Amino acid sequence: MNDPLLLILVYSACLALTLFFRGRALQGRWLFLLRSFLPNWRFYHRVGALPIMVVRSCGPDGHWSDWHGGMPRARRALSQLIHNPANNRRLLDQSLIEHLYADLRDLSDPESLTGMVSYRLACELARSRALSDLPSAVQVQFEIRLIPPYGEASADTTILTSPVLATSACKTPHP
Amino acid sequence: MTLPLGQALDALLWLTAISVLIQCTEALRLQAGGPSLAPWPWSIQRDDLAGSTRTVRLLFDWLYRPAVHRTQLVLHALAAVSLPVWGPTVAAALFLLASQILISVRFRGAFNGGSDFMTLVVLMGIAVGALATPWVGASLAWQAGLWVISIQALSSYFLSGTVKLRYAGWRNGLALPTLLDGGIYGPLPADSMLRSRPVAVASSWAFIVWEAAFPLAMIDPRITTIWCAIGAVFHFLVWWFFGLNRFFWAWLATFPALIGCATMIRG
Repeated sequence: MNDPLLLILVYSACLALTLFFRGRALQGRWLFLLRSFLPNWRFYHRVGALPIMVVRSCGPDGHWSDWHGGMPRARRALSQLIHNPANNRRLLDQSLIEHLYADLRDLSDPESLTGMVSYRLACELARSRALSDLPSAVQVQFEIRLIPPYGEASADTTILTSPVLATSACKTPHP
Repeated sequence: MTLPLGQALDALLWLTAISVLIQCTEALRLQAGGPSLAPWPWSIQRDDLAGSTRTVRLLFDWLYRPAVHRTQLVLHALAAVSLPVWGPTVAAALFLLASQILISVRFRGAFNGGSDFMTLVVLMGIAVGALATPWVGASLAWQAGLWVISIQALSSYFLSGTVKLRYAGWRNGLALPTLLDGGIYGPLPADSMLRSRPVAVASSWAFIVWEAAFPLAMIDPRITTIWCAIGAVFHFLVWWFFGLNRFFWAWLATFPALIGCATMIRG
């Protein structure tokens, strides 16, 4: 066995040890934004509770729709192997909901929720979803529900219910 | 199959250019899209930088103005194409690295998770090769660049495989159909073969063993090539079920580095 391969195997053994001995998690705003430099390479490794967003919207007649939404779904097309912006955007929005769920778990002061970036972006997402379903919607409300491992989401698994939001804020141009 | 350094570098640069071009085209499409496609409002997201100095916040406000960000994406695509066409210059390599970081920050650290991470790794490897060339010569510099990419690619497969061994759901085959049901193109059809427990167990263990054994595949470039070919099928399946097209191209770009490094080991 030659030296480079031996080094790779020793390195792999060290990596394996990190699966059992983990240090304190580093936290910080810039660490979060620059986490591309610190990949942990653990994909789909466990089936945990998965947060989803459901929304309901209210039209000008004051009638509220049923709660709807959930996991992002799409129809497959081979061209999407090369160009898949809409579905990648749906997956990005799902990541936002997962970040909001992580923020909720770490939340020490419930009053600070409405100031959190993830919550405010989730409000925008809910408005956008409501208007795409019902362009005349004037109000929207969203819930974050958990899909339990090997289970299904229901109203009983709601971990956050937003206040009723006006859809008009969505029309604010950005940035 | 062996891949001498020059050929490995050429393949790396072409595949990186393709991968980055696909990402840029999608990002430009999102910029041009309606409210459901446009990036999250920077007016909210800028509060992520609340603890930074005013100068930093003003700089990012300017960088993420739609017209400036769009220009950055076009330059990013052009720089990526320049790598295989005009060669990996220091300027292009450093611009791509910095620009990739800016794109990630615009989406709160990552647009598409692991594919952003791996793209950054590949661009770091190219930057190492381009930067070190004047100091240590092209051969040593690009060997170092390829190894930077290979070590991270090997880590990604090895960790992704071994970590699954810790979870009963992967060992007993329950996790696979559950995760596939949650994919963007899911759920699995009711009569899918993957709902059969023996098939799910066999598939789970096949992928775990293949991923965890990747470092061993470096023993011979022919074995590395076979492992990479399985990798291409694996990443295609990840797209097939989860819609993660960027993962396919981001990891494909690492294969020349892996086969090139295995060729170096073989001497």
